[in-house]
Amino acid sequence: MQKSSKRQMNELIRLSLTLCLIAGITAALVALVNAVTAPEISRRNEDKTAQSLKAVMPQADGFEQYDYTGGSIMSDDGREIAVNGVWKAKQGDEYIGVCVKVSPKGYGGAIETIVGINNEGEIIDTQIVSMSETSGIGNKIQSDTFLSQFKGKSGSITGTGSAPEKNQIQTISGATKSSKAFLRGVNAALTVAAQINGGES
Amino acid sequence: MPKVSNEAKINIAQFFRNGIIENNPTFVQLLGMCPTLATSTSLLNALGMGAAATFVLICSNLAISLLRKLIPQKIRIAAYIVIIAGFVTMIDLLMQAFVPALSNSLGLFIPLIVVNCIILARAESFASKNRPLPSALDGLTMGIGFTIALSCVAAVREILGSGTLLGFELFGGTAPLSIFALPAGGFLVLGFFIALVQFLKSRKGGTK
Repeated sequence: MQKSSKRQMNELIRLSLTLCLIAGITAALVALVNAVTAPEISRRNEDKTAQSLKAVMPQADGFEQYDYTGGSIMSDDGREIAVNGVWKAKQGDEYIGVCVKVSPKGYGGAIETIVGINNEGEIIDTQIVSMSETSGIGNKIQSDTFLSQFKGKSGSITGTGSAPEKNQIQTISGATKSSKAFLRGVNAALTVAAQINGGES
Repeated sequence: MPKVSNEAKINIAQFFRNGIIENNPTFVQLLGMCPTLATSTSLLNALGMGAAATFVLICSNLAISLLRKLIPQKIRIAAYIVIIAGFVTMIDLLMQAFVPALSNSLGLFIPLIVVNCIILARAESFASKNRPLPSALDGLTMGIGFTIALSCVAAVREILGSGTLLGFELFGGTAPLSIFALPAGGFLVLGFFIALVQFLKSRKGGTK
């Protein structure tokens, strides 16, 4: 009895060690490939960010990374919105606004968004850098008709299913969850911009 | 399926015929339907997906065949999945770094190669029982079979669904039958191809 349980134990240890060994070797190889590709991937992502910054703030000719220490923003309905980066947009020597990168949580994970906001606190433009919302439904938030609604809005924007009033945007029917997530992200960006603009002017 | 015993001479032509026609993973074995339907909306996606899957097939078949005597029977599936996942992560990183456009358009379907049943099926039914060289060859021919099947479906769907081929406009910017770009059209095209392959196989006078 004791002997057989000991044998079982040995068997168990042997199986676990084999699997650990295989996993360890595989992990080491993946780490090697990662070490080779990581700089290239991060360079490409930086290019992508630079393009998005230019898109949401076309008048700017330079961007300065701003050290934002406020952490994440709490939305009105109690969701935490991560702030991934803040840039100050420059035209010549003058600061003309800020760009805020936020990633609200949508239906299929984070919707990485960049919002360009001028010194008056009005949205210049918004852009979605990456998302994985449902194809054909949630990813409609990338459409121009939806995104262009945000231009010129300021303060705190609310969403509605019917005809939008002042400082309201119309959510996409069938994609309410994705629309609202994006909206929360934009509002968080507006809050960050207000903090920065308020603190320095 | 060719039974390759350790002593038998490798018949390369037989491997190719097996992987591409007689046991085509997609049209005959009906494996890997999910990536077939999802990534066959354009020929370029299909070729990218096929190449990535072929790379993983060759590498995982080779690795599993080399390790086939060291992997205990009881944990073989777990070991195979770890090995396959490792290669998939590598190709995913390489694609993100060097062909980002393709990596973006294939998106989630590259990591999902891990659970592509063609790869696990070849590991279990071939690589775990055969020597490394035939196993790698099996991976290559099955990968080519998958790529050809995917490309056939994708070419028809891209021409009919989007009116383009490899991105070039064919009918002046109009899409003749846009249903073929949608999942329903994917099933239709796939069904016709399966029927065609069955017809050709049966006409050839019963390979089986």
